Amino acid sequence: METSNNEIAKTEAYLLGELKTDEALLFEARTLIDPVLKMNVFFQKRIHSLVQLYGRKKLRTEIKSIEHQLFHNPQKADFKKHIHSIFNIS
Amino acid sequence: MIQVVAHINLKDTQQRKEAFENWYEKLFPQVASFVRKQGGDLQDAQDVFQDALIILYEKSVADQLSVEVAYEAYLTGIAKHLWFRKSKADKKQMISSDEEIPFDVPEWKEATPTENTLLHLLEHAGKKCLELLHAIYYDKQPMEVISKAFGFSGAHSASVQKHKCIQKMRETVKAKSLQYGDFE
Repeated sequence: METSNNEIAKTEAYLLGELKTDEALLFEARTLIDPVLKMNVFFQKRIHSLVQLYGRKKLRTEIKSIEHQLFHNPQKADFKKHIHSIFNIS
Repeated sequence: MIQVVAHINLKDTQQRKEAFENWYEKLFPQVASFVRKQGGDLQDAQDVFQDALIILYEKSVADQLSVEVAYEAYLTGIAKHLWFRKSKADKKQMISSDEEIPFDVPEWKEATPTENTLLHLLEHAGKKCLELLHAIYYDKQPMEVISKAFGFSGAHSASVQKHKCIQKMRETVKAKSLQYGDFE
């Protein structure tokens, strides 16, 4: 478990660009001779991509909610009117 | 008055909501006019403005914004840049931006079908871990804040849970990716 945690921590540091150049090169060299490590790095990187995707999805939902309020709040009718006039929407 | 980065903490939900509302109301009309002049529609303008807010958030939490650059200049600049990029990609028109933007606009990669499927799976079968890693990697919250929000006894406990989550998610993602044949 300890070895596994160390590997996860090292991979994380590598993916986040926190390793020094020589450490990063050494780590990359290890992935060339260790196919299991290579696969683990690949999937840990994919987790980072999925977390970013999730974060953007959540943030977009927040923004769309603000957008919806601005376009549908009667007190902000001037805003909607202005935007619609830009796009010639009646 | 120009608001600069140092005055707003976008990691704070309430401050972010207020800032986004304020910017949307104040700056979206400028972006909408620009997009309209360039041949785009309301949906195009909304898309690029949403993307610009997301990029601004990511840059802000990663401390990659210069305090000299006002949020407002950043937002409108990045929205225009994204529009030029989108127009080129869609081949609607071959245009080039002659506007100087004093910062890098990151590549905006659309999610692949496999990524969408995997995310859907994790949202339903690993939500707690996904939320934890989201707080750590996307929102870049300090471990002390995270341990409090998630009910851990301290930063060390949060860190242990993070490793467990990565291990668990890695196995799930690996199994599904191999099943979909999506592994280089």
